[in-house]
Amino acid sequence: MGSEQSSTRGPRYRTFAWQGVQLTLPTDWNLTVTRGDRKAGYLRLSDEYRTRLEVRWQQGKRQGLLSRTVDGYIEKLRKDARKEKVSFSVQRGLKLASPPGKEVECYRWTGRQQALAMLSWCPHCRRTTHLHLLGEPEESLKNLARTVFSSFRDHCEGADELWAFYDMRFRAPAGWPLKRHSLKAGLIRMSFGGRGRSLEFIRVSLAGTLLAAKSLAEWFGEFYGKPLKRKSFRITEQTVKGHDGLMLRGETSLFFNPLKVFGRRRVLRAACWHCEPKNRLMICALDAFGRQSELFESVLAEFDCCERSLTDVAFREKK
Amino acid sequence: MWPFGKKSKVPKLDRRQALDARPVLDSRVRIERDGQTGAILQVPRRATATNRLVCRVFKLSSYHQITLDELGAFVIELCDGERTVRQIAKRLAGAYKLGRREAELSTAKFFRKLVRRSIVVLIIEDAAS
Repeated sequence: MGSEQSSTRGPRYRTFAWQGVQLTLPTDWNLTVTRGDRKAGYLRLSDEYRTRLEVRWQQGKRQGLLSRTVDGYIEKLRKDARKEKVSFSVQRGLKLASPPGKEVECYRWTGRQQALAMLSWCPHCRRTTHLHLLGEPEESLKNLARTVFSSFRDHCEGADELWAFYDMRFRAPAGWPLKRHSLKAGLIRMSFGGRGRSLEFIRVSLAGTLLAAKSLAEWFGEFYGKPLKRKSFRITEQTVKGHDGLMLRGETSLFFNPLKVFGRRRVLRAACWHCEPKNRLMICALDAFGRQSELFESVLAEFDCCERSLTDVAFREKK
Repeated sequence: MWPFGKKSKVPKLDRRQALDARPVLDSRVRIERDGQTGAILQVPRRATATNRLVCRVFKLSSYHQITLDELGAFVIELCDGERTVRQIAKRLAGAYKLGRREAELSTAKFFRKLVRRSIVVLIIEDAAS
């Protein structure tokens, strides 16, 4: 599903991306905690049994040498270990990865658990990122750390930024910050944008159960009714990304806002489709003024739901 | 020590213990299929003096009903004391094409509610360790 699979041996990997942080991680690691925003934030990823990776980032002025930051952090860990009466050891100056254009320092600490860490500073995006790969004290983590740390990116190169988590993968325009997000079991909703513009990516699970007693259009009307209020719109049934779906185009209704005759009107464009192979309902919606609404096609093309949607993209590119 | 008696401590479970627990339905709870895909649970009311009085005055049944949707019915029927929460979540994920984490979260939340209402009991191994 839009993921980069490794060879047949060893764990399978896929791309994870959140707030510009991009990593290649084993497929069974999932996002469990997320805090903060683009400027400063925290992520935690866990496998079936335990926390495997922690990522902290902060944007802004560089706070002295990287080695000093590591010194301070290790001192804090050492104090905690002393309190808990656990033996603590540190190995500095490891050569685990050297991402291009970044200053990095890699080290290992072992206490109650083992961690291979990388502290990185990027002069391009002015971000300090601290990655911690965690495991049992006797576990061999070096190869995994090499794969994970060398895949690390902290900013996007193009005009779009990749977001990839929980089998969901899409690209949002780089200047559109994440406004709201909801990561519930069965419903993922990511909203981007700011004043006068909004872009939403929604994934709803259990599509078969939801569509058992109603059509896709009826469900969409109920689920996405609020943004459609006070708008005049037209829905057409068509195939979207190789699946049965709907396309919507709407504008601010002149009946409710007669003064909009003179000004610019916001255009709402949305696509909703039923991805049968994954039993999911997907919605991509863009609500913006005139020219910005032209982004919709490119945004929709990059919103993947399953292999069929990827083949659809490949097919379109070939044409 | 009434009225300031200490509350019995509820054991705190870590993630692994919670997922390895084996849920079993309270023997007094009855399951009835509702003719469609869901189910109805007949759960005995707590035997408090107030409940007994209210039931007698309003001629209520000593059981109350809880209606479960398709997913709830699917999960509750797997609570046989043999399968673990993890195995049930896996079955749910397979049947409804959910992600592993999605299935685990929703199953855990559902069981938390059932345990709070004393409908399900969790058998935990190695709780002391």
